Amino acid sequence: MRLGGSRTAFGSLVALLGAAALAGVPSAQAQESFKIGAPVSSSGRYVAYGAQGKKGIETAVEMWRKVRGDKVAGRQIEVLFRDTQSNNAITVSLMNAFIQTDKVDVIIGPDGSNVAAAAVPPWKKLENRPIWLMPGGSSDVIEREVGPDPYFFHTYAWSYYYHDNNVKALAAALGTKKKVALLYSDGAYGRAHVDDARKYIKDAGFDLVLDELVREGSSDYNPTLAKVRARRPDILYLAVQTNDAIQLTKQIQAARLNVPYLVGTAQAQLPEWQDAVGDAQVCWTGVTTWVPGLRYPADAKEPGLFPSAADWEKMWTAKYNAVPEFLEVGYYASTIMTLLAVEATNSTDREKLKEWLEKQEYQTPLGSSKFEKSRVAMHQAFGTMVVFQREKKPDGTFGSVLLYPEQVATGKLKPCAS
Amino acid sequence: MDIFPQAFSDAILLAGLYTLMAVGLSLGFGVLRIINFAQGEMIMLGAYGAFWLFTLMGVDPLISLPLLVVAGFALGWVLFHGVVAKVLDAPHINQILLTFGIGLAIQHVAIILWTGNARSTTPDYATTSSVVGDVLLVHGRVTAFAAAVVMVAALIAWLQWSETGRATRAVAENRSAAVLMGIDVNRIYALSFGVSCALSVATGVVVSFILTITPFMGFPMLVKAIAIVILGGLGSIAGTVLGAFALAFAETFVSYYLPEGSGWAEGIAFVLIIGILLVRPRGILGQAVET
Repeated sequence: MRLGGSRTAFGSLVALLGAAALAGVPSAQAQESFKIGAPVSSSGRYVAYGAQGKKGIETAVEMWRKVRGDKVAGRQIEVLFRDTQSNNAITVSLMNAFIQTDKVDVIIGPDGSNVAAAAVPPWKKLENRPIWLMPGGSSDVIEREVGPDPYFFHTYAWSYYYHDNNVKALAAALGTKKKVALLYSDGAYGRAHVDDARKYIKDAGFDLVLDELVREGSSDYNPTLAKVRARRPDILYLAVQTNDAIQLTKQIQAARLNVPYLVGTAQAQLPEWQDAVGDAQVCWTGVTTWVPGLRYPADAKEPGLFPSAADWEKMWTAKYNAVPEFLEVGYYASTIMTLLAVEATNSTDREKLKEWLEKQEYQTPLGSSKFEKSRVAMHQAFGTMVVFQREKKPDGTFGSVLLYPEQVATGKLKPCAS
Repeated sequence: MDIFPQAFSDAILLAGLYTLMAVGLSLGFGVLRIINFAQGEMIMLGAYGAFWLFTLMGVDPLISLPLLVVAGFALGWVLFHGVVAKVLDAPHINQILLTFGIGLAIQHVAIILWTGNARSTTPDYATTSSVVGDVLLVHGRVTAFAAAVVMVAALIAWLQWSETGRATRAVAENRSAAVLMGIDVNRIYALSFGVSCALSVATGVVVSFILTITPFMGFPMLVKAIAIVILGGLGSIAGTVLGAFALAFAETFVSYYLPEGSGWAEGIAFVLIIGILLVRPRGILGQAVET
């Protein structure tokens, strides 16, 4: 009786557990999610970049939900934003937590080159590292650190792309029989850029008449500018980070150098440089992956997610009452690409996602999403850069004239007024 | 073209700025015997004050200068009574940690309030210049130099000829004797700390149109100011002026006359300081300091 009773009770228990387990299967599937780990700098010195990255990812997920619904391949979309605090040590901890604790499927970010470089070792050392898309860091130190890793997808231009495109634009507009003065800072930014700036300037056939280091955070750049004046260059080429670029731009304007062409790298696209230098920004050229006014068409397969650059810019401007910044569009495109990858493969498996990303090609607001090899990295997209020149419009506002490449150009390079 | 006149003129203009940057620190140490490690952040606050008044209300930094100097003095007064007074007799390490902590707190509040973005004020004179003979004079730097001369001259005049100034010098010279003479030492301490902070805020206002403003701009300036004060002699205003000129001339002439000199300038200037201190450990005009 007791045994029989036990059998009955045991059978009931097994049946109950089985039923519960069966009932639980669809429930567990419904709860399965696609996790994106997003290290963003929400505080500290890269806070402006972090805000752009966060907004780019949020807008992409919002757009996906609007076009495709709340889920991707039956999975909830979960984005884990974590603040790097613009701090290398914290970034290392975040990367470890993303991979080992949160077990994210994909990492997108972080932003500034310093924290991006700090994120490499903790990711690289783990065998089970997830796919990593990096729409931020440009320093080729990162590229060398990562090496030809199959799971790393760089979705921004490396630092040497700046100089390749800058020099091509100058050569196309002016020919190469020109004298160039190159100034670079002794900080991480200048050191990361100077070798390639020098290489492309010389390889193109320009005459490098001054190759001068400036001290990062110097109180006075006049001694250096006096050397520039003495060499009478046609082009002044600047490879310094934003803080120094602000002071140098103002001092260059005051110093009456009479150099016809003023060439910058990343700073000219940044609102903080533009706001801080005011009228002194006029005539400077810059190079970037994104600038308002680009004319890339919509993607034929996914026009809802990747509309034309003009329509996407219009959407963004209406939504945020501000023109999109370069990281916002980069993070947007990178996030949409990962969502498309999960949907197309119906999987979050690293190998499947990698294979799909390697083969895909879309026309995004930032240009083609096709990955190619760069100097070291296996996967590089959105390396097409645009060279532009700042101008003051008749209504007193400032804008950019696109100079290069020819297919997006809206004007010609003009010399600075002496 | 001979570059000496240009180098000389640039060095003089830079020296004015360095003097203003360091003189507040020198006064604070001379009277209170405390090196205020939050001095750099006071400079930063002055720069942001000028920036926001310029950006939001169109107030020229030179117009906002008196207003911000008063605000800087008030902040110093409050900080002294609220915090610094409590560690006057504490070990130096406590004083250093306290003022360093105040500086860090101010810096982080600035990051939260204003982000880490780089900024600058852009009055017309910041980017215009005149040529006198062979010398190019940037109006922004000349303006900053003039403001520095006025502020330092006012400080010296106050110390020399006003009753509170004389009392301040008396406290700096011998605290015990000053007490016996009936001087309210705590009031003089508060006054000196307030004036010291006001001078730093003034420095921030004038650099707002020359240098780049960020929450992190204070620390490098503090390091330079400490170097100048040590070089000139701790607690000596005249020594601070000499120290500022020595550093400015060393940096500028190295920048002009050495290849890639801008990169070497600070390094060589600090080697020079070390050399002077080896020969004269009290600094150029320093006296022995009883601690």
